[in-house]
Amino acid sequence: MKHTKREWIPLYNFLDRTRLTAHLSEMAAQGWLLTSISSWSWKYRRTEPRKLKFAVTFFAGVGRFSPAPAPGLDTFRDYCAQAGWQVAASMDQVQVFYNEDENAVPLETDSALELANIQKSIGGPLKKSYLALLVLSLFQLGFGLWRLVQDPVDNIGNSSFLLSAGAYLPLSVLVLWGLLAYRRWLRKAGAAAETGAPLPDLPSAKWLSILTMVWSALLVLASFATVSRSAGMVLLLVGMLVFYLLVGVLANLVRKGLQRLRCPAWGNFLAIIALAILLTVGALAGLMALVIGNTGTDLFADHPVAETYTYQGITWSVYHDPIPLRIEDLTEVDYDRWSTEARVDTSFLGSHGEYRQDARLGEGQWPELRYDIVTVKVPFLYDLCKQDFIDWVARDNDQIPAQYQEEYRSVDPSPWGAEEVLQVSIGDEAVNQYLLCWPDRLAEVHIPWDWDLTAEQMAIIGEKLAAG
Amino acid sequence: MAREKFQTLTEQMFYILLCLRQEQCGADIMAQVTALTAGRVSVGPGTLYNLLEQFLDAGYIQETKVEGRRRSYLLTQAGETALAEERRRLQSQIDDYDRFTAEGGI
Repeated sequence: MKHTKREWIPLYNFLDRTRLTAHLSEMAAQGWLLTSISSWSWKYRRTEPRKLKFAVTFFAGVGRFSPAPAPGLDTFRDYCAQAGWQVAASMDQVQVFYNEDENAVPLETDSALELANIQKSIGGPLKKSYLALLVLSLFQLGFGLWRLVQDPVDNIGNSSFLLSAGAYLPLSVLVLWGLLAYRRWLRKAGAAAETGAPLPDLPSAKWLSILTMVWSALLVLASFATVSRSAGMVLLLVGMLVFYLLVGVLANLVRKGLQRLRCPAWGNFLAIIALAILLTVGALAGLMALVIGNTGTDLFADHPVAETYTYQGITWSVYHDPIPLRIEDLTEVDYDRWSTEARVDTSFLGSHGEYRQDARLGEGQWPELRYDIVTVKVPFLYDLCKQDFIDWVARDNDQIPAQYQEEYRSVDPSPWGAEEVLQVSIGDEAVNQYLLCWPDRLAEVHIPWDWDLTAEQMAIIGEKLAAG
Repeated sequence: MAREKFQTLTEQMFYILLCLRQEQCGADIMAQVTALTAGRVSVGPGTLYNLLEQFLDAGYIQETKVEGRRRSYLLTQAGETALAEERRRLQSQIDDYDRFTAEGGI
């Protein structure tokens, strides 16, 4: 028979006191008395089923990092005991009491004073931490959006980047909801306090919290899915999750230890920051050692190498990835030991594929191909991606003489079967680099520099890249 | 500031200060207020603790004895003045009421 019981991730707001205390009373009636609370779980111990009245109040003298027990807390609890209120559990400022007397005098009998105490004990710190979290979340969201706008071609299919930026969206909503709900509650509570009526409850954002947790779990799963082709990356991701867990557990142990040693709050806070920095530096050093130690292996490769060969003492990788356009589609070649590599990133915004076809080193001069295909699922990104391609070729123009400056210029698109075609010119000389544009697709292709493309080749390139 | 805060004492403030005209342990005040008012006024322990802290800050009471966790308090001159002013305010309300009703006011 179990003598203890835990409720994991209880989603009660401590200001949602009617529902919270009703739940605790119900548990007590079933023979489970609350013994401790933390952010992650509430712990109960088995007792005789009892009819108990619970109350939640806040002690302003306690802080997350302040020395424990806080001065005055014992005295405060003695007053409560005098009125029949026994401590069930506490966490920082939050104090949960129970009383066997249904008609006991409430812990708080002055609404205005109670409201002032709530504002001082949890309201101020809550507002500060929520605002800091909101600023952080909005910064991450803004930074993600800025990166997407600045470098849309590289980020449009980057699921990891979009996932990490997207992780902050529900958090921002949750925090903003929390702040607005608290503000609305303050207004109502102020009105109640003026009339001496009991303070209202601040309803728990249960569904929003569940949504945020589900979203976070999906993000973790999605992160695993995006790196699942690489054993090393999966290992890194698991390592990262373990690291976060370790930092959290260690920081909590150190914080509590320093509280018991009566270390000042600022000292405790600095110690936690130092610990986090130390562990992060250690983890980064370990990560670097892992990466360096596995240089040349497939551990972190995102797709398998088909074979390797050695040329001038260096090992080179050969890929046999399917690619939409091959040299053989454009000309006859007496060579079949190609490496064809495709790196395609796909997200809900679109996809970006980088393709190349190379001959092996030391096996003669053979024409080679390189091209990128961007497929845009969200229309507003189309022009941004196109401009990204155009700007990229002109990125160094302000540092070189005019005759060497590169730019895309429009050419006749009809032979390519595209809506618009741009060709790179260096000074006044056109070179074999083209940007082909379709309504939802862009393809930048590098043709061997010495080829004079025929209309037939242009049509094949257009057809293959439009379909690939 | 503190003076402004306690310009008008609530019933609970009034009775706590009244009890502390005699040296008293904080924990005993709740029972004494209940007894003094025949159960009409009750002070919750949370309210009592916060009010004692505020009265200490305002200089209305002073800590006289600390025995382990038991702390005793006594009203100061400032507290006595505040209590007397509140009494005067209440008395003038009663006087106004008496005069008004004696003159046949409704």
